[in-house]
Amino acid sequence: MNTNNIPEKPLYASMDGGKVERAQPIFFFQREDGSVFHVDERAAWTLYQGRSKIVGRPAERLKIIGVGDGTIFQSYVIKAQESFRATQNIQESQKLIREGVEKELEACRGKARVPANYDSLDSGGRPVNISSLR
Amino acid sequence: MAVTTDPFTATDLAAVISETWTSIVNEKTFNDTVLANFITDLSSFASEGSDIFHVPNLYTNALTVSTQSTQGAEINTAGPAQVDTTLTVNTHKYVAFIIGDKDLVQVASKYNVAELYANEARKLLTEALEQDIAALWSSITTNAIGDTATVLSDAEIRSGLYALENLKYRLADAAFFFHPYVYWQQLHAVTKYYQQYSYGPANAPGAVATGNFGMAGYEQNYKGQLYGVPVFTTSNIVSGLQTYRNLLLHKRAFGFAVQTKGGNKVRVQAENAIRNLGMLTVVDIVYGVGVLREEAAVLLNASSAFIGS
Repeated sequence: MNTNNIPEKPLYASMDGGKVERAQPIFFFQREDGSVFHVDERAAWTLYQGRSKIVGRPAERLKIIGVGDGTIFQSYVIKAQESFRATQNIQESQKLIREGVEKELEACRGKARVPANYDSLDSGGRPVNISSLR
Repeated sequence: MAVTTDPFTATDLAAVISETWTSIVNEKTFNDTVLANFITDLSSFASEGSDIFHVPNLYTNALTVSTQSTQGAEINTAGPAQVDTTLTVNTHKYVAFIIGDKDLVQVASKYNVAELYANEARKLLTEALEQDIAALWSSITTNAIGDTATVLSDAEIRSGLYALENLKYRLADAAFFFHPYVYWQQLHAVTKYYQQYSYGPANAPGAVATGNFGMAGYEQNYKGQLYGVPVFTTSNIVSGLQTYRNLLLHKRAFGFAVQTKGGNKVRVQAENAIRNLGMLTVVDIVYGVGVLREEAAVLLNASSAFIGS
């Protein structure tokens, strides 16, 4: 369904109390139809391994078109928070967050890498190379 | 000379003040399994072997209705091709730990350390299954609502329900799965859900009073109903890059099959490992997850940068 048809509306929302997450790698994938979406590294590993498969359809060919370190996106989230504090305008803040995603993609397009192997995790949920452990 | 100038201090009495190890143990907390309890479970078919489970798809190419325009004319028959869909069991996860014999005998007898950690390992693996099911969000393209900057509101909820019902899926067989942040920080700020004038009569208190959208149901993170559709919360809903990937699922949207050796969902094995002089415990699970009907799932993206107010 086309979600662009949901009308913009005055929102009763605030950025005070919302989270600004630490910068983390952002993986940009391109589908066969040309659309681009972004995920974090853990989801990127699942997609890279081809495990996110729709039963009955041939596995979709996804291409990693860029990997950013997340700092540009984070800076735009912070900018969005500052903008909200100054203007109380949620739509403006949302625009800045969306712009942050685009800017991150612009900066990292063409720089691809393989996601970390999330098959082995330590107790904190971080990928670990078992063979390097004593 | 005063006789109370040099009272005993705790330091002076250190040799005789004891410490007590209580029998209360603080264990790690886990989510209830809400996703695996709801979606299609193909595990019963896995008990007799096989690594691939077929779910014939008769809906992609369906029968067509024809009109008999000319009376007596020969009819046209339709023979739509079926699609063979499969779910593969291809994931084997485990948690293993070993406690040396010396340490094992010196642990206070009130603590069954091996059992406590085996219990934790079992729950870790059950959560791993839940997380892999929640991770299937990235395959949902037909019904994806919102993005990294969306504050989940009533409009998105109704759009999701419309999307599902428009594709002829019964809402009676669907459920919402929200991250607790989205449930408490965004949905509960929607005035429509708790204002008496919109919620209903005085003898049916709203969410602000009860903490949920309907009758009590905090067991298994059931939070009541929204527009008649059950609502569950779990922190296994994927979050990353300022976005929570909430789900509105029909029962048949996702599927999983558990094929752990021994028949239980999770297997716990312990043995005296002579070569290590310790007790080795291994907890494992074998499973596969997959999207069975992609259009029967709705992805509700919500930003973590906003709270409803």
